[in-house]
Amino acid sequence: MPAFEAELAKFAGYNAQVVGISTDSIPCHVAFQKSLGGLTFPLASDKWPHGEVGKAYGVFPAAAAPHLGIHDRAVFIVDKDGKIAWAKVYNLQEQPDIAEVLDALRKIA
Amino acid sequence: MVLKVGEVAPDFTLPCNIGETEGDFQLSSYRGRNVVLAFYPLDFTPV
Repeated sequence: MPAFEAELAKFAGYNAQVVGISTDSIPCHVAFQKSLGGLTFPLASDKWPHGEVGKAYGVFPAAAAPHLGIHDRAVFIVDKDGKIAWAKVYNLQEQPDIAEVLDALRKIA
Repeated sequence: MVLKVGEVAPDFTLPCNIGETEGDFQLSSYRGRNVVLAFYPLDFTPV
């Protein structure tokens, strides 16, 4: 999430709202953000019903570790009309390439 | 199946927070803007 935070002004420049989504609880998100020195975009909690939103997007449970009850690492760009404009699923340990996401936004913006 | 480009993004509302300010995140309330959904496995893992 710090990688997104560092480039948040560029996302705003493409009229894009960033939201992080995991199955963690809100108190956990609060503590996580605090540990990062704060974030200025929201973290959403897909905790209950567990992973329901992730399921709708096909990224829950994580394909590589379905027994852990966690989301895959994945980025979707939803465009102004509410359609998926770009999507990429990453390895669990892999960092999303923020420059690649910004480039995709530039092409659709 | 992972949703593909061109498909309608399923709307959702989830509890969310920025710092200690809590609220709801509703995807459809951002119609007219782009939204970057960043799914990640777990808090306190690097992203």
